[in-house]
Amino acid sequence: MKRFLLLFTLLSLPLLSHKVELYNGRVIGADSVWMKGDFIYTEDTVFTRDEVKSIIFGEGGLTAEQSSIPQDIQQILKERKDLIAKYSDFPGVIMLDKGVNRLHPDGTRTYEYHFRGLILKNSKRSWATFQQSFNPDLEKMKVEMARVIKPDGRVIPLDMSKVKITKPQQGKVFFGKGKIISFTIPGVEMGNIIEYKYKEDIFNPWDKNIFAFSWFFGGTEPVVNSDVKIIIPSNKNLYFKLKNAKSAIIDSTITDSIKTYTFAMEKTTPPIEEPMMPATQKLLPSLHTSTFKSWDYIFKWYSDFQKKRMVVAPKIQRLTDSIVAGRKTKSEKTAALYHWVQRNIRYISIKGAAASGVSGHKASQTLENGYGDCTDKAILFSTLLKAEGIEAYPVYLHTHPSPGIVKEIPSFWGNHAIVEIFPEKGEPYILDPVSEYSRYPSFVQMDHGVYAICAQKSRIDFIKVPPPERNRRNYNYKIAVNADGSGRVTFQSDYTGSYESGIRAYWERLNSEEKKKQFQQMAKQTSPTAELIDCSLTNLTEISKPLVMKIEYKISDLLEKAGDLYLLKLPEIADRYLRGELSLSSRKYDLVYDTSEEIVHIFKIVLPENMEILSTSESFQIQRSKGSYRAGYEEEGDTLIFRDDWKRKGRIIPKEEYSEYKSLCNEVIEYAKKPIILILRGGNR
Amino acid sequence: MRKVMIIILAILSSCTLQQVKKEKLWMEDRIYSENGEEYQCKVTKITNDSVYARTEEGEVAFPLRKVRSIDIAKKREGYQWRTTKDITDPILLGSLETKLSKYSDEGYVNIYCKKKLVIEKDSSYTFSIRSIRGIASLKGRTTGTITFDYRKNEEDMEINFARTITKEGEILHLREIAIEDASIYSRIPPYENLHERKFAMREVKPGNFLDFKVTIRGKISNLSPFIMDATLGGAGPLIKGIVEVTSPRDFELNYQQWKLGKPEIRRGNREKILKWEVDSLPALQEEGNRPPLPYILPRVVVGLKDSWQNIAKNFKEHLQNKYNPGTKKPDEIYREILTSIRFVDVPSFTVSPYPKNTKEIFNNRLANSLDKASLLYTALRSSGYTVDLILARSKERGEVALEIPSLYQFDGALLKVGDVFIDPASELNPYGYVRVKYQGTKGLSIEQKALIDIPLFPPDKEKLSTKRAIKLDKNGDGNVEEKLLFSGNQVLGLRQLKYMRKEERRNILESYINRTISGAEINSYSIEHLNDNAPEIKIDLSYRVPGLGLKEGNFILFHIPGLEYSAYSVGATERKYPIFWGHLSREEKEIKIYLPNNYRVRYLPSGISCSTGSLKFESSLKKAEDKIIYRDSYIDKKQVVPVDEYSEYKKAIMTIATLPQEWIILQEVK
Repeated sequence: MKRFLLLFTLLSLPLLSHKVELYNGRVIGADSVWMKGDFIYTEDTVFTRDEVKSIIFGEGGLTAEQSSIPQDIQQILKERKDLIAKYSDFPGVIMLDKGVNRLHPDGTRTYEYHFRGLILKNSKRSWATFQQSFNPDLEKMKVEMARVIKPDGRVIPLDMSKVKITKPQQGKVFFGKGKIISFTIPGVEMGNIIEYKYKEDIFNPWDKNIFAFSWFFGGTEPVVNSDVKIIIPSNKNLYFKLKNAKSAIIDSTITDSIKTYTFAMEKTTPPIEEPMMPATQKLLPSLHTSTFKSWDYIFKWYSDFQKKRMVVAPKIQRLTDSIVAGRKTKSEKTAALYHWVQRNIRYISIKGAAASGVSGHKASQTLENGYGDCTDKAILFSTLLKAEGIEAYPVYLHTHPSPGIVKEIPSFWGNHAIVEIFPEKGEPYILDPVSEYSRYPSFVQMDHGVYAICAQKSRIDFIKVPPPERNRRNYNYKIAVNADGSGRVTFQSDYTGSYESGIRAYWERLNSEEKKKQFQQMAKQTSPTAELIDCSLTNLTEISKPLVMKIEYKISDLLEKAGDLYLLKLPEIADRYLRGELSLSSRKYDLVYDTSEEIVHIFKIVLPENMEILSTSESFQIQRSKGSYRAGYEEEGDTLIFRDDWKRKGRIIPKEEYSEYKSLCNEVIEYAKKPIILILRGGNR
Repeated sequence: MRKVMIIILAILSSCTLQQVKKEKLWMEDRIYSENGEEYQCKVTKITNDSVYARTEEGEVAFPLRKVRSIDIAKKREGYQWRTTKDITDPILLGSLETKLSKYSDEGYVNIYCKKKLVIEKDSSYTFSIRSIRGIASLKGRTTGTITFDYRKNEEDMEINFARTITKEGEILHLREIAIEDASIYSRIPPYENLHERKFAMREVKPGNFLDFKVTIRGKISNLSPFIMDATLGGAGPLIKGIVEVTSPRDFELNYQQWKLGKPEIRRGNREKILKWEVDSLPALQEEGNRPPLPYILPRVVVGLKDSWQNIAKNFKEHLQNKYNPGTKKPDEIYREILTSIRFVDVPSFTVSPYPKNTKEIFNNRLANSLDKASLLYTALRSSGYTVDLILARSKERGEVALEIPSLYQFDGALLKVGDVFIDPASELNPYGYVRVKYQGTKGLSIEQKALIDIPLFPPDKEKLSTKRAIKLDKNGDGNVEEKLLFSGNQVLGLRQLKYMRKEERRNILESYINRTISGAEINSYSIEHLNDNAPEIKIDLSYRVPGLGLKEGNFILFHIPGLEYSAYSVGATERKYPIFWGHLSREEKEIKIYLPNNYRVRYLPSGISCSTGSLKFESSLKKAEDKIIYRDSYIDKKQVVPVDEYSEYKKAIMTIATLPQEWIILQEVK
């Protein structure tokens, strides 16, 4: 019956289906197929019914490349079968991940890449669309081959006229010369294999002498075979380091003219996503190479650009003098200049060539534009400091989540530029003028605990994570409870470190009415009956001064009646200790924060005379390797005082210590959420 | 390339002497040298072996072999202006008188904004936007990067000028390197058409003024049926806003406006001018769940006179009838197309208001909403089903302008098979489910050749049901068995889990339950209907919650576990805008708490019920033998809560929000 219906349909309508397989082994592609009587028609051919072995619908107007399955495709399909069973849990598997990077004697280079991937879930059909960024001023891209291999051996090649070069949209503040080359391989379905090769001719590298190259033997999908070949002139040396790649196979050959190195790995699997895990690149097996053993050349290359830009022009000197006027110490002057650059140069990143790429624009030009990116701001801030006789230089780093520098392998490094200051006395320290809200000497937490390259001093320094007290949040509450269970709460908070910057950034963008509404909402979050009485933000736009937030509200049911008992929950404290990042029972990877943390609460509670305390929690103290907490109640006259202090040292909780850390945090929250139990004087205990 | 530059230089050198004199400071060209260095300059001469340029340091000659490339800057309108004394434009001069300090709370003020459409006799059009903005305080500095979109294949865009007028009276012109033209959908080559032109203004600082104008040019045709859909106002206050449309006198235009009076109409000998004006429009206020901007800003839509019937007829003529999936039921054909064609979320008006041909769609195996719907339409019709294609508009873009028949009003498409609306977008969409963005809007029926209502799904089709059974231990720990049933919009998000690995799914579910009940540790889970297209997804979870109840002496205290009602969203005493949900919904909970042995209930709060025009809530708490049973049902009855209902809505939410704060107290029986 089914067969009959199918034939009926074929008779009546043209079909957008096109594989007619003949008994003689030929496979004919066709846009449409008709059948009438004993004849089967395509748009240009008529077959007798006896000639046709099968008609397979569903490939649109695509033309299969081969009429029989060649040997290499058969081999790929054989491999496919095994992989489907083995990797069924994954959305896709990369069968081949192969690169060849060739450094030519004239300093230009050629990079070739070959990819083959099997799509196992529909989400990986995105592989059908290829995109690769490049800078046409520096390099030439050519797609050499792209195709889809169907499970039945048919191969549909990409129509090369469909390859597009466009300028992609980037963030609103980014301007550059980069483009992407992209195409979509047609006819791609689940179970298909995508394959492509492209070639990149880097005719204008940033610097013809600097050759550094990294390769990851894996990614977000499992990789069956990953290998990379690096070919350099025989008068050069290749220095390399493998990370997480114990099973990598290394091979090298040397001829009169070239040295060839091959690095290969098989069967890598991607990490499983966890909240706040280290950068994926840090976990993957990787290779890092360079033709330099020492950083000297790169230091000089960076330095030369920087020095040309750090010119103390008269306009710069005048500006510096006006900013530091009235400030006495170097520290005060540094702070004033730091705050000025943050607030007066808005973030816009404009990249032209290598010079602006790594070192930004001249200090005077950034000043004239009134905008700049991290490199521009680092140059300008260093130059202003220089004008004041304070030694400071731009430094390069990779912010969190940082893949981690490989110090042994000199290369272009980092995604950010900040400033290292070298005081006459004491240790060098870091300031980041890109932020718009950092109060001296704090700097944005994405820079904490990573390496930074100071080219002009030829050094690579580790930026220490500030101690918890440099990232402190102080919360002070005064709570007056009335006899009827209502009450008034006066809240005041102040901060040190990055948290203050975040708070400033949030509040500054709101106007007065929006701020008031936000405060009303904050009060309401503590209790549905809360009504805002007063609120203020002191020094919101004065980033040189501490920000102080004050909120006063009344609550009609501050005490929650539970039968004959009255419960007083300390407002907000439990929410503050809630830790979404501890949602997993166990972890495979370290838990990574941006920086350290300290939270201090003081609650001063005045109870009504008609009530007495039935129970408060005992004092509590706990100390573990990564954090500590102490808390307790005490009575001072008619005031019950609760104090606590939570500290987390450092920013990384190793996976081995996760369980201990989680248990510490759970104990903290369990303690903090315990209410004070009250009873009417003379009530039944 | 070198040849072109020489020609450009020749043109520049033909300027008058006076202009050359004023050009002294015009150093906006850029030379990129081979060593990576770059120079801002004015290129003055290019010879066989050198490039000559004027830089800050004076005249410089670069050996040609050392020059990688040169960017030649464009001279824009008023480029010769250096100080306010040079300004001849009365609108700008007048705007510079604005007292900016008045607007420091908002950060900036749009002093003047004119959106002007001119349609010519030959159907070509120019749409220009002129804006003068004053920066009142530091927070206004973020408004100095300007972006406009246009359709690259049909339109051209030009930045006529963009300049900063400093409070000291200096005029700083836009730098060429601070302009970028980019493709918004460059990563989806078959749908790559919409481009943005963005530029960064200089010295965006308090006291300074920004003045810019852009022009978009195109031509109206059957394939590009122009429509202007413009709003006035935004995040900053607007002092003077104008929308002006000029067309040949004999051109018939339709127009419609919201939050604006009728236009002033002037008729000349040859042209007709429509003009809408607005004075002193306040800045938008930030509010949670604020409606999309087209609902709250003054809006004008203008198009050529046409009828819905006619445009539906034209559209249908573009549809092809060339794909037959064989004899299958509609839902089977739907699933086949849904899974075989990858969905890309590119609005149709950015590419073409007409679908691609079915062959191309099928070959690409990739399609946007319109193309996927048209392919399915063809397939269903070829299989003999009666089916209608409905062009749809996302509600975020504002309501359909009923008086302006135009295909450009729509961004996607649905189908109607019998009485069932289907939305062939991503493969996760159940048959018969319409995404929230199209629910309750108007769409153009291609078969009926008229606008029709797309249904708003009732709350029961956008539902989350939770059944939670908790066995409480004497030490306060809880062992939980939970059954979750999701339908509607939430299914689309949850079904993404099918693309993940088992361990990733487990991590996500463990995080999910931790957000509901802190400290939960998952034991096991199962998910039903993850891989099919069923309208519901069922998740069974088993988990443990240490310290669910607080042990205090012989008491165990706890809140009703997993209630997340909060009064935060209704904290504001009043609202300026309605609350916009965009769909209806229902949430039901049943929480059973089994008491530990030898414990009795010392205190159990009462349930709450409340109902307003926009929500209905009922809850109950009962003690039954060895357990406590909590049940509730929360229904959002309207997709928009009007401002005049906010007060009663707020009261209801505040009442509901007391529930999670209530304590249940168990006491040990000795």
